[in-house]
Amino acid sequence: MQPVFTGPQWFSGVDHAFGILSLLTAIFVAYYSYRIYRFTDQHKYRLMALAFLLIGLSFGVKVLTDLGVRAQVTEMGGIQNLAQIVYISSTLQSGYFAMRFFMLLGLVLFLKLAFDIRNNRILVLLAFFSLMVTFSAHSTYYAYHIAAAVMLAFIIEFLIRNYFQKKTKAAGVVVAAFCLLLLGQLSFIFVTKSAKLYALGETLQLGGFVLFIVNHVLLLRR
Amino acid sequence: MSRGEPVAIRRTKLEIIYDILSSVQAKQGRIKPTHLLYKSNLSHKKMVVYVQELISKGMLTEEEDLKHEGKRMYVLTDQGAKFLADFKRMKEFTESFGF
Repeated sequence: MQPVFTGPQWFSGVDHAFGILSLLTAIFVAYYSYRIYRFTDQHKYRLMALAFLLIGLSFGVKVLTDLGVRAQVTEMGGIQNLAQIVYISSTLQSGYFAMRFFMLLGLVLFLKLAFDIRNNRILVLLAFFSLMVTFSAHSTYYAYHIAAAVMLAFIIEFLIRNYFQKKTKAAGVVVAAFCLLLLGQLSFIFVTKSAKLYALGETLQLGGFVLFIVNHVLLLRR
Repeated sequence: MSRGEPVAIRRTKLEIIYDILSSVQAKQGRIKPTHLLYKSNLSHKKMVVYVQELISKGMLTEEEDLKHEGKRMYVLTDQGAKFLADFKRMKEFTESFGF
């Protein structure tokens, strides 16, 4: 059975609110990217929209799984036997597998955009490895967060180069947003050291998505 | 092509439209056809095609030059200005990601 970390008691429920906010932000950025695709007819913006949509979907699945399990446990009046433990656990695992796979698939699309991967075979290979990390690794929790952190590190390296090329505030905000997402993943990796790291990871992740909105607002105000 | 030689980057249709409209905007929203030809970096034939398309889409209008009788001017409409603002915003958004 794979471990599921939920963080400190005081953070219970707050993570769902963070998840919903991240979901809404990701969907908003996906919608704007899709609008740009419709406007410019450039395929890469459709992919960008899809990447954000998958990441949004990942948050959505996590929130739905957590809330669903919580509702089931309340309905059953608490977990009273082994069958219920197995049932709840399998629901959690299925939801978390889907959440991880959607997130990694979204990051794979960002890698395709950042490194202009034109060969679809490489893309399929990356998607396959993401699937392997999600479903077959010995500890999918760690494998997922480490894989996501490595992918984010590569994306950030590209974004930093873009920032030094463009030297705009907006490009800097995007670098900062992805850095927060990376720091969030690193916090999740070390969550066994302290449950507070789960809360920190969720907060950093939300901070990253808030920065995407800040970027958009800054552009709108011009 | 040898190293250091300038690379000619083909503009997309959208970029050409953006260049035409921003040239008009830079001239306080009214520009003479000859100036536009020079600023847009297009052949006369192509410029006419683009300008006609922009007029048909309501982004430009053709008006008489008040200073020089019988001459024409291209004028940026509100719709054209809105397109320019939207395009600039989208360009900055996409450039911030660098994809």
